[in-house]
Amino acid sequence: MAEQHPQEGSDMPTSHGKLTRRSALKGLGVTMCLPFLEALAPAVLAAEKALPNSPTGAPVRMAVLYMPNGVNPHTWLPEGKGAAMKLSPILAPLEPLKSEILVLSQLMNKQSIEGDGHYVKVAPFLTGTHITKTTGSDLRCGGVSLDQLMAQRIGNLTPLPSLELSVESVTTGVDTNVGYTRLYGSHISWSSPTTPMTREIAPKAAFDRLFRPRPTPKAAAEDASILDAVADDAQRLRATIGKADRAKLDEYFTAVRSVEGRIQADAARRASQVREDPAARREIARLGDRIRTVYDHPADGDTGIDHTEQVRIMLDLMVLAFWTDTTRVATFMYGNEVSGRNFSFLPGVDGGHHQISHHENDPAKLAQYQRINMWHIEQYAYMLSRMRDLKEGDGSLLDHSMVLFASGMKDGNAHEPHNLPVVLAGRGGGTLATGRSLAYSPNTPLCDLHLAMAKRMGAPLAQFGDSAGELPGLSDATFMGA
Amino acid sequence: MLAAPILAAGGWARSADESPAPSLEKPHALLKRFCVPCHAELDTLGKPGAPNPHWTKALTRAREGTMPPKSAPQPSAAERARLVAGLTAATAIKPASDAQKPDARPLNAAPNPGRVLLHRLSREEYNNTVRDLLGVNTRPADSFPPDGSGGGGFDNNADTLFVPPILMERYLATATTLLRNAPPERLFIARPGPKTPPREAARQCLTRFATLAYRRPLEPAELDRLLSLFLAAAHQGQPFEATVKRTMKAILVSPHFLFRVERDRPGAAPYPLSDYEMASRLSYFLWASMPDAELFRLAATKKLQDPAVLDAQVRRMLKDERAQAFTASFVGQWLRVRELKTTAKPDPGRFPDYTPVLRDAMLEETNRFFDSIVRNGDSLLLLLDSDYTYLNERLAKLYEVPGVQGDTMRRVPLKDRRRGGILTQASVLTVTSFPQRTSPVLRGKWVLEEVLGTPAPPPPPNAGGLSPNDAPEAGMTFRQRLELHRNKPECASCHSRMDPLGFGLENFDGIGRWRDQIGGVAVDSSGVLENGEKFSGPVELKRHLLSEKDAFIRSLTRKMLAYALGRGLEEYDAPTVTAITKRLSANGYSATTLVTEIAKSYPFRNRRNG
Repeated sequence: MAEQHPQEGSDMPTSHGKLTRRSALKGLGVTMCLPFLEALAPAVLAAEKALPNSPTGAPVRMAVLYMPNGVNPHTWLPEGKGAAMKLSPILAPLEPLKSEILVLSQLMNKQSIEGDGHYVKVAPFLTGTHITKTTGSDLRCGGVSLDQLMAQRIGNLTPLPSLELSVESVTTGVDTNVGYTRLYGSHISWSSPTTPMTREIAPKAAFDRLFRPRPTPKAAAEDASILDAVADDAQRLRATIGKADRAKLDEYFTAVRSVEGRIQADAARRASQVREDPAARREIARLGDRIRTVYDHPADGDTGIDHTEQVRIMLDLMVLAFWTDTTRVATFMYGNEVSGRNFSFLPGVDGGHHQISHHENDPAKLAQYQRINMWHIEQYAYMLSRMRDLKEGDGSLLDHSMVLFASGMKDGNAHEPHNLPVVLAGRGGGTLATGRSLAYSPNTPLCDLHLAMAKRMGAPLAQFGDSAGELPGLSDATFMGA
Repeated sequence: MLAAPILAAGGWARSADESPAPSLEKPHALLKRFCVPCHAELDTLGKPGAPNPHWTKALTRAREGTMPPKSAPQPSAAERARLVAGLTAATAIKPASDAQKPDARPLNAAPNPGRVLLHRLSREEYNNTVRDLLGVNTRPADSFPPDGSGGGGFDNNADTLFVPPILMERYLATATTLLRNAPPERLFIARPGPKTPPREAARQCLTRFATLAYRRPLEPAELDRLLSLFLAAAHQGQPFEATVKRTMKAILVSPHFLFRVERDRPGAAPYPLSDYEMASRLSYFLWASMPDAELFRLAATKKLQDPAVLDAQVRRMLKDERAQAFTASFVGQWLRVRELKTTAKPDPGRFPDYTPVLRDAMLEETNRFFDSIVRNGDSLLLLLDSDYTYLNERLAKLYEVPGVQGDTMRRVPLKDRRRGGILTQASVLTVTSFPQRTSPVLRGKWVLEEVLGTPAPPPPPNAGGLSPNDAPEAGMTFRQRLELHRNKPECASCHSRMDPLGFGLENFDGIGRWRDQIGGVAVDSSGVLENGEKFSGPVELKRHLLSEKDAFIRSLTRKMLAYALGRGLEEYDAPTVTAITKRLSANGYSATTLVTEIAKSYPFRNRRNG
């Protein structure tokens, strides 16, 4: 079956061109029709051997938190260079975590310059590619996103290759103002140039997916045989349908493989794994209770749910997914681009997010915009402090992670694509010298940061988007910017 | 000769702001000035009465603002708006000779039916299909991640129905639950017995189940593979029922079940759909579900491509309860009232009356209203204005309509004609408002986009906005501030189209309640339309929109065709749209005519390889 794979030998649909489908499959150890346990064991060993361990020995995790609608440009940047960093008003909630962060300035995503104000700043944020202007057909973001490349490279090491979360349902329809489908504004993760990763927005479903009890061997074997059968169906169907349809069917194949991978990973895991650890079980049970408390009470839908708590639950799901090594790659979107979420629950704020982001330099509106930005940073700080509290090996979960916070534009009023707001937190397994503000030369490619992160994930890329080379100075405490 | 179709197409007359006589001369002058210097091919009127085929591209570029290039002379915003409006109208024109034919077939010698991508069942389709297949009415897909939507603006658009891993996990888990909860008599039409070996019983059960699930006859090789799956499980000593269910689980996650499969045929020319493919197109259009026994029977006897049969089937299907899935799904997305359940969040401090109960009643009003028009075959123009609506006590209270008691929605005559029609329904008025105030701009934009089908071009960068609150500020009413804001010439060209339409609805607050004052100042709901016509309030606004009924009917036809096909419309669909709208005007705008004409249309019944 591995030899008949529909895409065997063809290039992965990535603009980066560094990864062929064949090598990706080898890396994943996916051989669909072999009895799954036998097929898996040697492949995992090989992949683990191929990866450099982080200096601390623990795996490195990567999370990306995306904030829509930009920042108040006047109150974002810290004062002072390097370790002399003095946090700005928006970043103030990070004060207790100042030693854990890098504030990076002057980065720019080249492909987000041309096009509309919003959509070309979201979809390519992690792909560094040009997105096709379309109202729906011929949806194409141009490449695979950084997180999904990582998932394709190292996702076989964990039950889930990656995790995509949000709290806002995908925005539907076409933004007739600009002629882009709103789908672009709801996705930063792309598993192929034409396939956005669907985000889970229901915390209960996300919880069950992450922490469900491991299926019995009998149930697992049953599902594996069913997946074999339907992959066979798809293989035969493929021969009778059109070329364009095959791309859709390939999504189906990928999904089947991913579920098989999960079954294999669950089966391969033993009680020694961290998920069976009493402390982890306690944390999992606590989060499960919290979700039930918050979501079972309102008689109706989500109207009564506190938005801060809603977001924190999602962030906690990511934290525990990392800590239990259920996945090492995660993305979270606070909201969809152009989100008009009503932030009037914040003191002094009166109105919707996108509306307020068009502040017209009115001081009153700028103050509200700042408060909304700050709220986003507060949730980020919450997540980081949770990660710092969770012990792992000689350090904390945060020590072994990279947690990126960013927006696709600087100033929401002007849709400013230069000098993006970017914070990178965590020590990346001892590969990040944190506690500094680094200003690069203007228009340094954001993709240089992506390159730097890929390397730290143990899956280096030669080139990514418009990258000119790995972003310098992240590990070097003496680096003052360039 | 040119003037008539241009007028019919709508946008042109209203954009020619200085001269009352509409003509092609104006966009042509603008084209000549800004485009033709580099693009000589734009410098003709095309065949007599027909648009120059290159104008479509010019329209796209003009609308995007990507042309003329920065280095070339730029049109002012007003000129660009006129160019866009003019080209929009001009490119919608059909050659006069064809337009006269009552039964207009697609224009070209080789008509293009378009291509619908391999279509994954949407959440709604999955829910309804498992209900009809298994008799389980639990709507399991409601907990699946929401589907996006594509160019047509609907979530049944094949292009944007993805199959992420997260969904495959759910399919697998849901199949188990569904089979556990399905009534056994649905699944087991045969059981092993003295004369029926287990394999034979399984063959009967699986053949029936897979035929329904795949929505076509099962191929012998497919049956063989299902039986070997059954036998492999049976060898492990599991009981008959468990073994059959396990095999059925494979059917429920098979691509043949999860996708609406239409197969390519040899040759390059378009071809009619197979009868079973046709049965599925009909059932998913009108029921968002699988075909029933009668559709299967008609497919088996190869009658579904007969226009008379199609006509009768559409009428039958619309009478069926399952058609509610179509009306709710279509109207919820077309008018965007579905957003009541997602993004529309009236501020609880400002609108304490807006409770989930009221919200559901708002949505229900629009659903029931549209449903009754479509299923009774009433005139589609009732959508613009009607003397009745659907209310329960809660909503009647909001509308100040006396004498409606209880939670049940029922048809209520409207004496006060400030209400009546979609425009004045609380659902629409709420989704077109900001959390804390109404937005004449959003409401006007909504009317242009969803009702008239003539969206305004994008705002320029740094367009700015207004405060979230509509209370008077600095001695100026909200309306005065908005008018000041759009005094800028680059704003005025579009806002003069949008805002008056929205101001006509200013007497309705952010959740659609009537008000005479805003912050102590009397509401000014008057407006001047682009053609200079003055109006005031919702009654006159509705009258104006009824005078634009051709634009409305065309817009609605386009939307419903896109929904029916599961894809966005392309240029080559224009003749189909025109032919249907002509039928409609000849048939009193009957909703039944719209649905049957779509079902009988060329792109609905044909496909091509791709």
